[in-house]
Amino acid sequence: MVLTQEHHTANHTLIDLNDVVKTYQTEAGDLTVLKDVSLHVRDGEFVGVVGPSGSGKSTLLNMITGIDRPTGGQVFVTGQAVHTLSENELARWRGRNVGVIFQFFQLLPTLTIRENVMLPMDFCNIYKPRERKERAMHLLDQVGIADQAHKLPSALSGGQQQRAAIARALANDPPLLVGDEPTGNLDTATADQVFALFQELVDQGKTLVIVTHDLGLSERMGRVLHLLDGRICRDQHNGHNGSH
Amino acid sequence: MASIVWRKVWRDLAHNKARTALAVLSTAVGVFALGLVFGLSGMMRDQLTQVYQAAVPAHVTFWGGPFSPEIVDAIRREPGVIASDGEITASFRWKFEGEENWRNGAVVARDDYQAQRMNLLRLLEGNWPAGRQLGIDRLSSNQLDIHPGTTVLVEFGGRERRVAVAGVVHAHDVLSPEWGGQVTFYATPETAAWLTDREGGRDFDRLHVRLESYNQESAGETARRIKDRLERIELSVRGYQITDPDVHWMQDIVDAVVIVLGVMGVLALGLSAFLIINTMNAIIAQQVWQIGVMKAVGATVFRVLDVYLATALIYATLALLLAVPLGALGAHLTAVWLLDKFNVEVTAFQIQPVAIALQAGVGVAVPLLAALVPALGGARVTVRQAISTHGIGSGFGGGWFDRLIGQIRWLPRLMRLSLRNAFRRKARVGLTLIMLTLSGAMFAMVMSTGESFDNTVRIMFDLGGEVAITLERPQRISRLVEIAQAMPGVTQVEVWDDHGATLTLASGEEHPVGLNGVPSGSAMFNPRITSGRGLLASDRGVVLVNHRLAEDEGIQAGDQLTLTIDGEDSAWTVVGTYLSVDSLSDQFFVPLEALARETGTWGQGDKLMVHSVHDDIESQQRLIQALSDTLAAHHIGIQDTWSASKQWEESQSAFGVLIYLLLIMAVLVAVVGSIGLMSTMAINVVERTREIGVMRAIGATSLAIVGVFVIEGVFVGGLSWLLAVPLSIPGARLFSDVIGDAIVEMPLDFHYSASGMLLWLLIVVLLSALASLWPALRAAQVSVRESLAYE
Repeated sequence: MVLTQEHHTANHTLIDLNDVVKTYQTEAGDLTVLKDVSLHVRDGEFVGVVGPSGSGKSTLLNMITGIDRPTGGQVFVTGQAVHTLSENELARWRGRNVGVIFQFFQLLPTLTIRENVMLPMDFCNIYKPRERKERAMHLLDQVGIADQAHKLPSALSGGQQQRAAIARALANDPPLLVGDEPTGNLDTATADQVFALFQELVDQGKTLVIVTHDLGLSERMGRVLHLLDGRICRDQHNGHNGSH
Repeated sequence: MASIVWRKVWRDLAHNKARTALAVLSTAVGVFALGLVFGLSGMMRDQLTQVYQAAVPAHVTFWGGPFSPEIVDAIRREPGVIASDGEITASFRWKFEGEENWRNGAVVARDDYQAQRMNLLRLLEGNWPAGRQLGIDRLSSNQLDIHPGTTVLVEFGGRERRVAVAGVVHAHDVLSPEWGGQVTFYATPETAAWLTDREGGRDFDRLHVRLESYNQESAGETARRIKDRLERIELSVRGYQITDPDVHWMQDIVDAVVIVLGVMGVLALGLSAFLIINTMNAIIAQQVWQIGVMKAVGATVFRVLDVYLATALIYATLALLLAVPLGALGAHLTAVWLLDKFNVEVTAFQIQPVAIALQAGVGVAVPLLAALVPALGGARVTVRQAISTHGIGSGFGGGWFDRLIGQIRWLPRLMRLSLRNAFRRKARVGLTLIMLTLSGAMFAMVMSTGESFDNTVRIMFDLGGEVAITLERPQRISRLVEIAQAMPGVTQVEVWDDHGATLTLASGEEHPVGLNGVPSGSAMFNPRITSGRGLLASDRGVVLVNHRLAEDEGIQAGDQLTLTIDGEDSAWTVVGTYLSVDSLSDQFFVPLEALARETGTWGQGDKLMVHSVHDDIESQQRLIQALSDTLAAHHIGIQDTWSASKQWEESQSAFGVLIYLLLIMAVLVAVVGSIGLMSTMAINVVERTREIGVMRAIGATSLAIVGVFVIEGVFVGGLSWLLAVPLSIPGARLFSDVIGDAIVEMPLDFHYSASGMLLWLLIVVLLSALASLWPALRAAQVSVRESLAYE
């Protein structure tokens, strides 16, 4: 089935990957990290991506966010043919449609927490300038760290920084949130708290795709994709969507 | 630009104060250099012109005469003339009471100091000379500490007279004694006659004329008309000179100095631009992950570019705030110092709007343009590239160069690590190498130019003896030789003769030249021949012309010249041209016998040339004193004396000013180059933080880590020296030619400063080590835990 650039499905598929291949050229030779991966994620799903090191988890995520381009195949996210966009178009699209959460938080060190949350709003201009501060405070309140708004990232704990990063990811109210090992740098208790936050977001209608090495956490997600050697070897539906 | 991004820019600057300071400093150096040079140029030009015009300079000056006051009045009534004035000039020797050695001096006498019409003197201290008193020019007064009330002894024709100094005056046309100018006294005509046994009372030997309006052509016509009129009434006119009243007589040299400084200033600015590129690369390298994050949350390439161009703009603005006032101050202080040498006093602080406008324009444009390439490079980094910098980076081993360096195994292991580390980021180290190499080449250029000038000045010492005594009147050669040969230490004696003459140029101007009669087979006369040949023992009516006048007038070997000597024309054949370093007068050399035929001074000469065993100033001065005393005892009057060592000292002093200024520029350039290396090493430390942690984890001490980085810096510095050497040889030759043409109107006698390059090797190794030390010490302070957790 050929999918056009402006493709919409009747069952609200948010992410459509069709026969995606990703090959890297290295000094040691060509390395194919993703091999004919096809994936469909619907609105509101909470998807975990698990697998051993080198299985292609992060590469799969980078295909979805447009951070990397496929060597072959097609990638449609929120109805947009991501694989055809230029760098600038990708940046603009990503700012509005995808919230990226990094393992090491990646907050800009010289901006306060509130300013870090407002930064994507400044780039995308969805919200009026006078609305941005209030929205940022609302998001920080939502993730439970409104009282840390005026502090620099270095003054916060790992868990608090990750909450701030989640608030930033929500800045422009994107339908899709993506995280690469977002709890990888946190202790168990903090990871649990952050995971609970993810579950709340899913309940609010967001679609989440999270790469994790924590099998315990992955069991609490609605759907788990098992990757091995660049292929989805198992697509596990857990019968719940991240409910507690 | 969105406000949050501006906050990021400002806070990034404040967060890394050291780097901000480095970036601002590196920009400020180049902008300061521009402000210094252009501010200096503006002030010099303005002040020199102002002072010169305020002195109401004469348009035409005749010498010869005697010009009586009635003649002076009559010339004033010539058509086209609005003023005329007469002057008496004479040379004598003088000294302070109690001093042993005589000094050369000159006296200028005017009729009425209160009613001057042109070449105005200003009374600065005391009173105008009256009665048997002298005035003295300001430069001599300052240098020799002579003030109203000082008494000096004046010697002429064997007689000594005590004279008091009555006042200090400012004259626009005297050269500083520091630079070889004569100490000039001022007197009434009666006093000058008393001091120099002069007959003729108030008759002048110089006639100054000021015209109703000036242009070169009409001034020439008027000058010729006046000359003809004077000669018709049988007055001798040995020559005349036309002077542009809007151009100071030293303007050419000043312009040349400023042009040279300007070139160096632009080079310094260029190096600053390299440094900004380096600094921006450092910032981008440190913030590449932030660029990835910004792009991940919606920033386009242009938004990211905005951030870093804004950073460059802030650096530029801060640099301007620093460099503009410092440049203005530097220009003012340098101008005050330099202008003082030209007898111009600057009292008020002046701002040169053109210099400031240039600084502002260039100071903003250059950093922005310099930042554009690295900023664009950084902005184009993809999100994946930006956020995927984990682990210890590679970047070494792939290319042939890496493999070549990898073959070097005879160095200790840590030094091998330093050497290979130095070339991991080839573009970055390349930029640093360019800066340091240019610094080294410029240093060599300046040092070589200094040594080339020394070589060139020595040329003049091949045009006569080490010691020369000019007599008041020609004396029998045999008598002079006998007297001089009897002096201890004297190894060679010759007697020359000099006489004034005029040469009619193609433009019709009667140009004064000095004729120097050289004895046949002279051992002391060894000119550098630039075309044709030198004088031969068998030569008769031939002349050797200085290269400068020959080039200007198109004179070649074989040409016939008509020289007017004492009013009589005579024909001379040009045999060749010689290299002359005298840019203030035109000296020709002729066979002594041929000159004697024209002047009627057979067997006589008025210049005693002596070679001796003495080569230092004091010994030569003692010889001069002894010779003078002996000549005086034989009733032989002395006009002035000269020694090679003193001339050397004065030439060094004059040219030393330029070399000093150029060295300042070279030092600035070296500082910029070192800052560039420091910046590069700082980036390297940041990028290899995880690597440092690994080294620590496997046992490296702080000393070992510091050593790795310092040696890396020294390798880069040493390599820059190796690259600078071949570059500096042609560069130094070109530079010395340019300086020579600008200052002495001839290419300098080139000498490459090998010692200068060796000195640079020491300097660059030291600077490289110091520049690497601070980043290296920072590297040593990083703990294993911090570095392995480094993101």
